[in-house]
Amino acid sequence: MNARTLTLPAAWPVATTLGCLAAALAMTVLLALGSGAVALSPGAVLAALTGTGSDDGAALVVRTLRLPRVMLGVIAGAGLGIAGAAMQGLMRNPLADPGLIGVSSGAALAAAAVVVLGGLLPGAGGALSAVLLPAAAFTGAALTTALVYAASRQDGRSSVTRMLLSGIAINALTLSGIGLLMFMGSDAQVRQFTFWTLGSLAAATWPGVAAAAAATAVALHALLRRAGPLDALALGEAQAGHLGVDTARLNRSCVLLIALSVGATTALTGTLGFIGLIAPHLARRLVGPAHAGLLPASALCGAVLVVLADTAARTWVAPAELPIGVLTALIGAPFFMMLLRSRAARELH
Amino acid sequence: MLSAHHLGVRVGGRRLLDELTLALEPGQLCVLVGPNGAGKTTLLRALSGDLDTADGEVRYGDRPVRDLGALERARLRAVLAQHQRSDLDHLARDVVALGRYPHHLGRPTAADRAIANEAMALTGCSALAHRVCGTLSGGEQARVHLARALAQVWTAPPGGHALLLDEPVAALDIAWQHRTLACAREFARQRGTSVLAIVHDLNLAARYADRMVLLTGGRLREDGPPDQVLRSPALADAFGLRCRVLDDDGSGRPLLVAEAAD
Repeated sequence: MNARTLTLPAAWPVATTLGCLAAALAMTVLLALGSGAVALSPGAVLAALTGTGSDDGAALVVRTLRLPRVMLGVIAGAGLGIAGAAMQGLMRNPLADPGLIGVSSGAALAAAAVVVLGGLLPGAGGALSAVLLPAAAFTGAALTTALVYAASRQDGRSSVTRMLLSGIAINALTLSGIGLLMFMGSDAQVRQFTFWTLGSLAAATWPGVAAAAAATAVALHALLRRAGPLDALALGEAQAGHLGVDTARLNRSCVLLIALSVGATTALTGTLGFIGLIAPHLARRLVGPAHAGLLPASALCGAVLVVLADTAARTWVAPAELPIGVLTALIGAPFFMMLLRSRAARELH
Repeated sequence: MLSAHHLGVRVGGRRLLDELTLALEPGQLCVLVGPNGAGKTTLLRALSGDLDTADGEVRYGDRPVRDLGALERARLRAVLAQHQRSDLDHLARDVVALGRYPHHLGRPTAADRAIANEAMALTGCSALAHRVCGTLSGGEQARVHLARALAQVWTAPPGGHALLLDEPVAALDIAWQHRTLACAREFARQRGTSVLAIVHDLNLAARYADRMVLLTGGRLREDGPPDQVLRSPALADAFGLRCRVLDDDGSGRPLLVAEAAD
């Protein structure tokens, strides 16, 4: 069966699908909160969350140790999901992903540069790093997004091949930048580079989660207001212009909003590859391509994916912890190959 | 009313349009004909406001197009480009609904949905409403995009709307070529819209046009009722073909027949 015929927006209201996805996310969060060295049933997790349980140890584990981390996973997944959806809409290109084309690593490079050059460690340095790291990550993400966007255009049109090739170049550039920083950094700083390149949710703190949540909410809200213009953009840049969309302005604001959501999460989690690619694809199957449904659905799908991946990363080889980026790449890379073979292959000119 | 005044467009030292003056009449289907490279699409792009013209100006009513924003233009005229993206994941219904975007800006009313449905009925694609656009045939997609353009200019403000169609029948079979031009003419008459269409088939064009404009080398060569333009020696001249004009007893209209090229 053709994959396109699986989209069911006519028969199945988008709001219902979004409700189901939200329920799936809630269950995933319960599962994640109950998993770990101290295994807890969903009932025990709920009791610990609401403070009605008698087990103080469980309450401590769930509320203090696991909840910030799981919430960071939710926010990071949502941020990458909407960034991926917006980027695919903006570039009219199903292969756009903030990780794949170097936006995440641009953010990570900028944040790592602050750490090494500023003599800071993530989590240390207090207020300075709490402001400086996200700001640097945002700037890095914005610069790389703008760079890839500019490089992927030719004669006013966006080309898949140019986007992927310029992504390769930018990834190589950021990797060499990170390599240079490793060379310059202290031993303790170098150990932190796994964090930037393969990601981790281990450093979750409530202030960080709150800041990332605020940035992601702003990005989602602003992108939803642009859902109509993004839909029109699917027809082509000239056609969108004929429908009254100021495409130059739309492009600029989308680049900034993508950078906001990628930068805010990357500063806290390092790079989580492929989430921005997979989440919008799942979401498109469920709610169709219209951005009013696609953006929230991508946020929910991304959140479920990251929380699941993080839960697997911290429980599979316990008490050690796999870098989460290893897992997302393990799922994401074959998924990307599959996309290349199927529909996207027709568009590669 | 959409009009061009002493329009001049140059690209890389080549004159694409030269001192061109043309006013579209509300309620009329005006067909633009001419050989390849005559400047038809350039004129259409200038009229739509996509192209900055070096000389002269395009006016919507009495306002120069360069004073209008993208949204204002979108409320006054619809453009159907020659090529459309053929791999859209959207349902045909949703593509047509996008035509109403400049009027509702993301919050469609019941009236907008009704207009989209009527536009689909008019172009014969109601049955395709719930199909994914990318799975439709080229001709079906062309009708969906035509419905989108019609929906965009469905409600006419004082002074009238304009509909600019770049080769709207290129992808269609002969029956839909006729139906599409009949539909464009009906739309113009019923809604007082100024419709401009680029068409290559001269006999087809003459059959439905209220007015025919011949463009060669960026200049307006002939402008008048189709019968008159079809009989004009300038037409055969423009294409560099020897032609005969036959009178069709059935319709009482002239038919152009080209002699074999040397």
